[in-house]
Amino acid sequence: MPETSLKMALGKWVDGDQFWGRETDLKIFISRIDSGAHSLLTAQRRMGKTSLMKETARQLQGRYLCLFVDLQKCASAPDAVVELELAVNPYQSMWKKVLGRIAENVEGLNLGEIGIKLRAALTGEWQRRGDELFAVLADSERPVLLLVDEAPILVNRILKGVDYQITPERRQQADLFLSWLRANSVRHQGKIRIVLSGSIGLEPVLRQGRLSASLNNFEPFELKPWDEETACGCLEALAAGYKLTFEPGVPEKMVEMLGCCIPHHVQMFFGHAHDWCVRKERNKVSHADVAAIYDNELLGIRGHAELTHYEERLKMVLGEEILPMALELLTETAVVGHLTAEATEVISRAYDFRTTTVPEARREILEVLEHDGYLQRKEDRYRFVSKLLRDWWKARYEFGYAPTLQRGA
Amino acid sequence: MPRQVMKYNPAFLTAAELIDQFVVRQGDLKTVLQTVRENVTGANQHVLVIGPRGSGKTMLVRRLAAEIERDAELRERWYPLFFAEESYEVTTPGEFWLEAVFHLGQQTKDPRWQAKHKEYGVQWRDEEAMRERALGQLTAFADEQGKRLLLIVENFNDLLVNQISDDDAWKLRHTLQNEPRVMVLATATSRFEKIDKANKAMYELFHAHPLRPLEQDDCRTVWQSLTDQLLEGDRVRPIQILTGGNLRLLTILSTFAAGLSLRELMDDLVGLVDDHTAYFKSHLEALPPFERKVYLALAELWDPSTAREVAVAARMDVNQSSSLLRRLVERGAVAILDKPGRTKWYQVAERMYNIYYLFRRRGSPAERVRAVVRFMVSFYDPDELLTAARRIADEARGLDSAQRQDHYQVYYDLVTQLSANSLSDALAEVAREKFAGLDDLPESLARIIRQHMPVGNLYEPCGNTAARPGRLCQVLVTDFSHMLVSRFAEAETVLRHAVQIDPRSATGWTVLGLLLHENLARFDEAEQAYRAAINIDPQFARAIVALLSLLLPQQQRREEALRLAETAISQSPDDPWLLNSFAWELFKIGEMPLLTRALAWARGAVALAPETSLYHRTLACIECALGSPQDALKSAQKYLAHQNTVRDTLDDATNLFVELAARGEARGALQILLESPSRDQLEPLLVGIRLFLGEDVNVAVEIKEIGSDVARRIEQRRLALARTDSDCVPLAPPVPRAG
Repeated sequence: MPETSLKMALGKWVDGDQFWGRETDLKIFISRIDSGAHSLLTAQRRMGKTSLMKETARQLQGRYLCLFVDLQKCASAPDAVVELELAVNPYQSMWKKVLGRIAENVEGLNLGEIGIKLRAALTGEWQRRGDELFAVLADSERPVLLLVDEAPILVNRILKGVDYQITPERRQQADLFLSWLRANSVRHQGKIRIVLSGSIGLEPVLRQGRLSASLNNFEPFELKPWDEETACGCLEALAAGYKLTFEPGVPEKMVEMLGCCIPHHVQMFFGHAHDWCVRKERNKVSHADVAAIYDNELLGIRGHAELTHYEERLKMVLGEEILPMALELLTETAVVGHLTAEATEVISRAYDFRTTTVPEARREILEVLEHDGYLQRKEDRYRFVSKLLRDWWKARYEFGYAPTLQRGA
Repeated sequence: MPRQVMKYNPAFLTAAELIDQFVVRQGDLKTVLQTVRENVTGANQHVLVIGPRGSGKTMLVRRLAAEIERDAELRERWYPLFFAEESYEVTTPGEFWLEAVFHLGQQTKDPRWQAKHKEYGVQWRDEEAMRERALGQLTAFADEQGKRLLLIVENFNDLLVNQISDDDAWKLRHTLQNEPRVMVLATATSRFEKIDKANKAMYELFHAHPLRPLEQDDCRTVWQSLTDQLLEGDRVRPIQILTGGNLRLLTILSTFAAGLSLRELMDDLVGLVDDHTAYFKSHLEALPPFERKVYLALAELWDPSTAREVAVAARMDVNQSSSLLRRLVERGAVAILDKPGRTKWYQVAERMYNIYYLFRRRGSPAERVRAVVRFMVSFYDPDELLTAARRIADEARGLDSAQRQDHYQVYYDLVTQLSANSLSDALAEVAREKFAGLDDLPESLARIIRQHMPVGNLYEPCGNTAARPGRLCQVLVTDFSHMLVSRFAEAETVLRHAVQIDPRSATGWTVLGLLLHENLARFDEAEQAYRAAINIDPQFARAIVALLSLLLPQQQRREEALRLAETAISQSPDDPWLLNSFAWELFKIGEMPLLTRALAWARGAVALAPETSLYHRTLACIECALGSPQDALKSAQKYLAHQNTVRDTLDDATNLFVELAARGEARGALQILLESPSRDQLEPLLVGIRLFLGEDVNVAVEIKEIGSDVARRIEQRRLALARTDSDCVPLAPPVPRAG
């Protein structure tokens, strides 16, 4: 029985004793912070970015002044400045400086209402107010760690507005915001560390707005899936948390079935197993149970939703013209189990593109598939990283597909 | 005492009633409660309960709230706050929190909150101000109480899909992620894009808890709690299939059907849903016209269908039908089947509505569903047919012409569904007398009644009993009515009186014998009565067959029974009915030596009357039991050629084909079924064999459910056969009929 027990956390961030399996990531992340670097925390959704930031703040609160800011309800740069100001609230002396002239009018108001007053008072240039805020922070005795979550949402909103159109004015606004952020990150280097993170990737947003160079002083920090040992440990700890037991080898089997241990998928698999036990009024999970749960729950209707998301990501990155070839390459890999150079060649022959050449398209596709975690290359062939993704893909596309080896010349 | 239930809205139940009536879904309650208990950190896990209409979502969330009130620890930490079932006014996060303030005012009756609601509502132009203030008040209330707020929000998919914009959803998410004083327990009729797509705000924010259809045991529990009626074994299965394990539909069915036999329930299905037309119609009328058109096209198809198939049925473009289907899915009116592959298969989510709709359609859609219902009844509980026939005949007598037309139809169906045996003959006879003098008797029923009376027309105009022997018939009929309502003691008294009046009536003695034999299990007396009939008329076939059926099960009297049969045959060698009846009685015993003899008789019957499909039925069953499935297939083919015979003997057809499939002739059996004119009546059987053969069958879920049970039965029989050495293993005997 593991010493640690965990509770499920399918949709919420965790910290403290519920924060699992990122000790090495945390160590590296903190050491980067200590070195004074600004970071761009990247990972696909449900990988644990917010939890990493929350846990970092918890661990560093003695050494740093940690401010956690969530920008997902902000629609503009002024909103973001107000949100940053509100984040100072726990630190009374700085808070008074931030409130400034409106301090006497906030007695009895809750934080939300104070935010409204701050917003109303922001009549002049938001950059100036923002700069003042950064100056206040830099003046702090302790170094400041500014953890900004959902910044890409805000940038996306500024860039596209309510009608989802990128206009020159909006591009300018977005550029202004990012430039302001960059300027302060440089100005207060060493005093203030900034971490940006978000549910949607910042890179694609910047690329769409042709703003890619705006934050090039932020170092990417990628959060990868768990390794097998961490995932198994998590499953054991969750089982302990709910007084369930596994037949020997079950956690390893679950991890093997997932293939790629995205923390959310690990939790999801356990969640289904837990529900299974509650319904069956049992407290032990068997190998047979796990196989049934995998087939009926993970590969079911939910699988369709997840897969559609993967397809759309590909469409967004590759574009509509070369997407069909990417889908076919993935289907070949799913159905056959691997993708060889020969198979790639056979598949490529059927395509012809207007905007690019076939070899170029093939190269781009394989790069994206590898970089985005769909496939991994081993020796001379590609395979799916995630068995779950492979099984989903196969279930969806196998019918009517003829593997290359079975095709005529 | 069956409980009073509020059929549609659990919101009207008190906490005590809720707890009392919450008899299933304990596991779901436990799981969701556990999440509530574990929300003690700086971030809450929110929960989204997903299930189609009537699956019990409202009941579950209200039961959970009742548990919070009941449990001291939970009560100390949580304040449940209910939203209305629909929140049409909410289109922004500010309005969402404002709505919460409104309901806080309603729930606490504290004028403070009502005043705040009014005050913040006038600030609607400043969405941010309204949002912050309303949320601020809620969290202030939470602090005041020292509790966290549990917001219970139904139809959350409507709110997110149709009312709150994508962009605003991020603002809502901000609060839900960062405000530990607020937890949302929401419900939705289906999964939807805004929780499934990674670029949407609510992606994976909620723990989605699906409510599965109720299993058989749970259906049984619900039924018993509502009706005090325990449906043992498979008897609950048709109800589970028809309602799709939907709690609301089960409740509706139970309030109407308590005390009815299964057959009555099935036959009254149209009437049942007519009583609840308001319910079914309301959700249909709520649909916009084109969505309604697509919905009804899908209902008429009944089988899971693609967007293209629906487009053809609805006479519209496939892109349009696809888009409308998507909207219907989001409403929860249509469900997507969980099938591998890229194609989406749609079906009406509320299965019972689909069946109701089909019943009311003219032509083949209605016929198809009627055939399935008939099959279900015979497959799951053939005993019920007999009980229902008795009750329905009795009811019909007391109604006026306009009201009893359905009873005629039902009685016709029932009489023709019983296998040809002496009891069904007796019931037909009863019907003739019971309906005697009624000038609206349909010719179809009259003909059936006459067909079941080959020994002569016992019907005579009524008159003085003593003076006119024919009067005996009327007396018999009247007395038989007591049997129909299981007043066997009275029936015996009157029948004995009848044979006293006319001791020369072979029919009278036979009917008395049947009562004693099949209803009262007084075999010695029954034998005496049969022998009395035979003494009066040594060639009275009904009595001879009845006596045979009494003697055969007694090992020590078997030879006697066989001699009796041989004697009868020698006296009437060219009576195919006799040969067939004897063969069938031997077959029912199911022992090898008897089967060999039965085979000869069955062959004799067929040779004498090759056009009579019922005799081919008997022959096929015996050939199969003797391990000659190939011969049985040929006979079965002739049996299936006549739809009426098959319709009368659905359970025999099912047993035969289950046996054929179990003995390795599944493909041959399937071929015969596919090519026969009776295939529509045996659709679930056909589906069952295909499932047994490992085929993927795309068919209405109800038919597939029955088919799955058929396939299971085939497999069980196959295993039973495999455990013995001999090829010639007795058939699983036909399901015995209650007396």
